Amino acid sequence: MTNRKKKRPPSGGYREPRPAPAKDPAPRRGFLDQFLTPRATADSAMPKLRTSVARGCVTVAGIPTFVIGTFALLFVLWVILVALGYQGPFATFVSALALPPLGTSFDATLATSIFGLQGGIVGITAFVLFRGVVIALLTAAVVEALDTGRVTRASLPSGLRALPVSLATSVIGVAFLTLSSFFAPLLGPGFGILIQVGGLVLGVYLFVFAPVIAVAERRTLPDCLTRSMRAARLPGVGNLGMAALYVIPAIAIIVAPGKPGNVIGVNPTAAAWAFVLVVNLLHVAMLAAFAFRYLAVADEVPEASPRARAADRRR
Amino acid sequence: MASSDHPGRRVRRAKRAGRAWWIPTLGAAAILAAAPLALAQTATVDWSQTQGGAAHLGSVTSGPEPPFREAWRAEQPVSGPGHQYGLSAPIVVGDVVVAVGPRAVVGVSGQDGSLVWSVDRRFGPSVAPAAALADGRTVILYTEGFGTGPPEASPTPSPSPTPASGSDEAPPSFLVAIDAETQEPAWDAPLRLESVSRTGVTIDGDTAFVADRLGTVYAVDVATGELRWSEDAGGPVTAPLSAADGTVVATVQGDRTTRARLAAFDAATGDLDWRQEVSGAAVYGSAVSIDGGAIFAGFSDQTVRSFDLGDGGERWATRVNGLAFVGIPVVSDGALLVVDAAGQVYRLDPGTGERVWDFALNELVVRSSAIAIGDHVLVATVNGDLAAIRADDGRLVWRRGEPGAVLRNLTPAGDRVVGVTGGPRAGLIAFANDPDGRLVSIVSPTEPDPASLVVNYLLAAVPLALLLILGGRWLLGRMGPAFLEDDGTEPLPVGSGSEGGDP
Repeated sequence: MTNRKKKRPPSGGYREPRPAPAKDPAPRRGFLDQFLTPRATADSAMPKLRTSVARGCVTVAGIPTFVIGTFALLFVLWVILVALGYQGPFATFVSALALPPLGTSFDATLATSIFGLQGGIVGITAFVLFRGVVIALLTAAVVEALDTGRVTRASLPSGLRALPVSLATSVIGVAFLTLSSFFAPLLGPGFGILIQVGGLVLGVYLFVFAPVIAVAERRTLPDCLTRSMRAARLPGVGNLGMAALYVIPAIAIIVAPGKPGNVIGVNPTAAAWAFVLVVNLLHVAMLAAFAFRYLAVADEVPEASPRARAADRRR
Repeated sequence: MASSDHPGRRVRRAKRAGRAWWIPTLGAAAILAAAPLALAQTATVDWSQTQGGAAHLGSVTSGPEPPFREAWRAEQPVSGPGHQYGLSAPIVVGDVVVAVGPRAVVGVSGQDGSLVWSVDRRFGPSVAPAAALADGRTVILYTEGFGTGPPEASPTPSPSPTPASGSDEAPPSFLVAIDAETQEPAWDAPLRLESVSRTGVTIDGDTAFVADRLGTVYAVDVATGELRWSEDAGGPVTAPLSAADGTVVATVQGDRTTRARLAAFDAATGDLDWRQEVSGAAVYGSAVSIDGGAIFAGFSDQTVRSFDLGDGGERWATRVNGLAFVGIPVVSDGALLVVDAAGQVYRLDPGTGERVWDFALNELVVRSSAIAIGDHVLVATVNGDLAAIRADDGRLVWRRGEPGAVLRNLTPAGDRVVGVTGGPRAGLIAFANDPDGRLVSIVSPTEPDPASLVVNYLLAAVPLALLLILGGRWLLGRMGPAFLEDDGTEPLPVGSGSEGGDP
């Protein structure tokens, strides 16, 4: 899959803007140069939030591979975790397929629940690796689905190629969680929660496109990460809002009292299963929505500065 | 440290209006008839302090068996500032169930729940009293007074003497002893404590042990109230002290910078035997139970741990699911039984900490430990449930709920099980065996049930998948593909009339 120019059909009330004339970004120097510059024009083809979410949902629901695959994966995952000694609550599984760093938080919770605080480090590593694999394969499938309208085995190699990037985003998710949990207590309960939620939003905002870039454009790991940040920072496209739209309701679902499956037990009720399956499918739908957004503006995302490119080539 | 500024005490005994000559006669006859039964009960039940005895084992070999029925209620409305203070964990003194309320110590009949006596008490935390034989009489020891808090607390329920020294002195706290028979003071003067005590009283032999919020551990002669020694535990002590084999163990609570730790003192001299900081992230710990040279306690890092009574070395640590720390571990017939704050009951191997079974009640358990009566573990929950679990295999055999009425601090009292209730009918409640009741045998929800697991999954997944796929495909057909291959032409503006169909 290449970064060929794409045009989205005008259905869904979306008005395709005229592409902005390409500008040569002014070279900037200094610390974090490649992360902070350049920013592109405000006249972007980035789909609206509503359009993105609708496209993500319909793509995932309309292709049986996603629905059946997601449902089957969750069942297998639950059986494995129960075999490892996890006793619930099942409701925590609403974050099983969440995007990093939200999903990484689930990994940490699960690992410490099963392996304790000491063994939890090994557990977290294993779960983060697993999440990396799952997100890479899902991203490849989603990109293929958006590109061709179906999912084939051809997405498998793409997914495997994206594995390092997917793993990197999961590891970065751990870093975000660690930092936010370190700083949150220092700032008191109110600001602490803000820091923790803000850390999750920032993690999604900056790195959610990286696996999509790896699948669609076959770039190197550093280039995928930095390009993801540049894509996120395209002005006026609402990427931060999209990240918040994803993270905040997801957290609300996690902490909501009285949701089905919110008790200790390994035999979830049908209602708890339905709840968990739907929420996880929404996570996949959001992955598709983010992928859709990136693919729509891939051509607009500026390349890294020449110095950064040279450094990347050396790597 | 004896004090003379202790408030006057009012003793109230239950009124018996309209007595006739035949009532005492009949009463005496009834007492004579019931005496052998009462003696038999006293012989089998020893619950003179928190979780039974100084080692807080929390178990008795025999007592009432499930199924249960409500035998009686003794309502004692919550009181104190904000009307939020209820009764302490009860103890049993003969046929009287004794509990400490915020402003009074009450004794109720174990047979029918009627109020036998009540003694005014300086307002303070409702923590468990303890009873012991001393010089041929039974004395009941309890603490009173809130020290420096809560700020809105009135220091006394009734007019009381002003503190002896200085008007800016904090309201004092005391260790008090009364005669169980007459409810008159058993000591010349109560023992004044440096700060408020929330540990309750632990009695081992002829010595009573209490600790205060500042971490001072006191050893007091039960008969005279004479202070034998006092030592600093090194931090706040709020959980009951435990004593066995000549050693007193205090759980010292941690804070933002320190972890929970245990401190052990020689019961006779007060010399510090050892101090053990708990590894991991434990900040708070339960009181410990002591059996066979081993110490057991629950901690706020979701662990139950065992330590060596001799040197404090950690023997094992086991994780539990509940987020908050567990109640005092129960030791019964070679089993270690704990309940965590989420209401999951565990049977652990006392030697290794390995889990034998667990049962998830899925009801919060707060300020309460499990108890073991014979072959059953009894647990009281915040939702008012009393649950009986078979100790052998971890199956729930009986459960009774009264939503909205907190139930806690179960105590075996002869052929009754007494608990403390909250809510609109706060006070004490007793349960007795119900010969007409039915036992059940329910497996814990933590035991995998493959059939139920698969059926429930399919019940949810199949309709959902069909619905989503059918709806999704229909919508996908309406929306068309996400992207078109670029044909080099300018994009069509919406509303131009040319964008309706699928490309």
